[in-house]
Amino acid sequence: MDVDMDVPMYDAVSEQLTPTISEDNTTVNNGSDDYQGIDFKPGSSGIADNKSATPLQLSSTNINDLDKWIEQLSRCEMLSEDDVARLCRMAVDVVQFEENVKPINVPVTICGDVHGQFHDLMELFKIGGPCPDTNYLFMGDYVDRGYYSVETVSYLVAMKIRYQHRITILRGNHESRQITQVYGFYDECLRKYGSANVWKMFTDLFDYFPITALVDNKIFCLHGGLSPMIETIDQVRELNRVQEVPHEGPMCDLLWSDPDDRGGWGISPRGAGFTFGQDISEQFNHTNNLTLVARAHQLVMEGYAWSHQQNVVTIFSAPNYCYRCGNQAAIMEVDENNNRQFLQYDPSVRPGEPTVTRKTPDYFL
Amino acid sequence: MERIIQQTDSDAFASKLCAINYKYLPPTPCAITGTIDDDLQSLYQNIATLHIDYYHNLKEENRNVYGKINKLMRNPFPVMNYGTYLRTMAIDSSIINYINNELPLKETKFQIVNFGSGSDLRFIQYLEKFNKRISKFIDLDFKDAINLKKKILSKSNLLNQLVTKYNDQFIMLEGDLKDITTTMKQLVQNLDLTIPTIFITECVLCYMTQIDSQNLITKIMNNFQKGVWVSYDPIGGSNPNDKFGIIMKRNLLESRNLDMPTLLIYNSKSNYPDRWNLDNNNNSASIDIRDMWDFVSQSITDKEQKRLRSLQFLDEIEELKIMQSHYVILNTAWNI
Repeated sequence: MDVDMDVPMYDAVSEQLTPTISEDNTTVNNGSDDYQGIDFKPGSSGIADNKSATPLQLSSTNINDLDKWIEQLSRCEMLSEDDVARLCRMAVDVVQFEENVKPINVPVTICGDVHGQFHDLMELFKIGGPCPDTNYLFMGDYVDRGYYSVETVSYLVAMKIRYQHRITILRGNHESRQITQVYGFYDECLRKYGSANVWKMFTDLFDYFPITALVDNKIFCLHGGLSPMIETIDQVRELNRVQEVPHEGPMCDLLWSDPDDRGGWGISPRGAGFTFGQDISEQFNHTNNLTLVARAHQLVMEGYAWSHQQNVVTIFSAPNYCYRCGNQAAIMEVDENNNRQFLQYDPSVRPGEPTVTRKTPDYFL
Repeated sequence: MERIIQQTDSDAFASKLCAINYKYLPPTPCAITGTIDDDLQSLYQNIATLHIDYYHNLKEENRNVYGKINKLMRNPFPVMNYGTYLRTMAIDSSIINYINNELPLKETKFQIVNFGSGSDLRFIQYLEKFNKRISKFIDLDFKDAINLKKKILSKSNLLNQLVTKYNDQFIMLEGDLKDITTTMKQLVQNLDLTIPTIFITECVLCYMTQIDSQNLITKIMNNFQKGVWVSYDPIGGSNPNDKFGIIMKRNLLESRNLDMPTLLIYNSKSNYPDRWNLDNNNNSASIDIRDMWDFVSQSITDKEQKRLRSLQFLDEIEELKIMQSHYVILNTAWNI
């Protein structure tokens, strides 16, 4: 592998968190005053300071709290900061015990990017059937871009804790400290909670999310795609995943790569991960005795798209992405007999949502 | 409606400032394919200083607008900065290309008219670069927009000095493009109909009705002997499955009561030029139209694209493509 990786994605953001035009001179100042005094180090929220040695067993108090939170969140009302702290502590004691390659039984409904479009997530559960009656596998990107990242990720995490064996939430490339500072989740937390605490808790939690899943030993599910450093699923099992998404290496690739029409490995235009051709997917599926790689990560207009002669499928579950792209969303149902069916849907109507919260999506005017 | 349209100037100015602040603009050397790279470099050399100075003076003159721009700048998504870069580069490279190709003799004078100019500071960039070759540079906008701009320009030492320097060439006109008769009268009073004239409409025609924009274009093209029209606008999309334009029109109407009357009429690269192609126009006009996705893939070098992507983690390539394929740059050159 000799690939030019000279797009410095890490450095770009760490150097330029919030450039601000200075008040009193004519130079552009990349100062990050807003961030002074904030500890960005992984683990600084403390939610993982007292991790349990055994998976969380829900007490009736836990269940009551979770049910109350889920009910509150389902109205798109965010939790208090204290409740988020409790939620994240509980969640660490659930997800830390999940494997890098989480085994999942059929039937299951597989979903792609949600990106803070809370009302469309509710629509997804209407289309796919309510959880826990339906089993769900989400392939990451819960936060950023949409206006309700806080409510969306709180809801999914609460559901995960409440119905541990019914719902799986993988990590996407947006479940990261760097990306959320560019794409909205960090700003949303500051705006809604008045500090970065909730952002720190969630991003600390994201480090524990499993990164891939294996449905009935046949469908390999992950956010991005394949990695030149991973030939077998066992190699994924060996990774140390509990860390910020690295800017290169196998874990980065699994969350960032894209299938491409060109064969072999290619440089990704995203500046992280790789593009991989049909030869790569065929070889990977053959080596690991798989029928399919299911992944998310890319906006596709019909909500799902086959590539590489049905060796790879892309699923995207945020309809009318960013409230302006006009795409459909989809989820993929896999039944007891491994039959697959795609369910497509359009954006939810949002009656009663106060217009003040409706920002104009960005356009060039 | 007039005020609502005028407010889009804050969006445009904030976007440009943001693209400057995040170092998208100015472009680095060898940013663009072809022979105009050096010209663009000199055109953009002071862009940051000029815009930041304008912004600081705006603060004292109009806290409201300043606050709005400040707020808009806090939402700097990479796709927006990237798109602002493309929009700016597409317009300027169209103008430079016209000057270099159609007016190759250094003694040839020309005029520039920036319709709906708002806070645009191109007049300084072009006057600094082409100096005496530009016989007149006109900024034309609604009365309030021109008044605000005049105040800011006079308040800033730097800008005021430049305006004074080009006092004989730079003209700010209050007007309304819907009123074609008055607009034409103003142009005729200040310009020479016989020398080549560059008309710029950057997100301007999209706010006009079909008939108003066609009338304006027809009148201009029938009266000015030689010129080019450089226009940047959104297009709604003509594919039946393409909902971008429908959603855009609805979003803008619902959230800010802003109408784009022709977004779904001139909705594609093939029919956007129809405005210029009327039967009663002379038929020696040449038309070149590209969407911004064509522009980035055809005109921006790989090296520059790599630089742009690295500035902020440009992650969403598919979204970028959707958005940029719904904005076009058109050049119509004519010679009666």
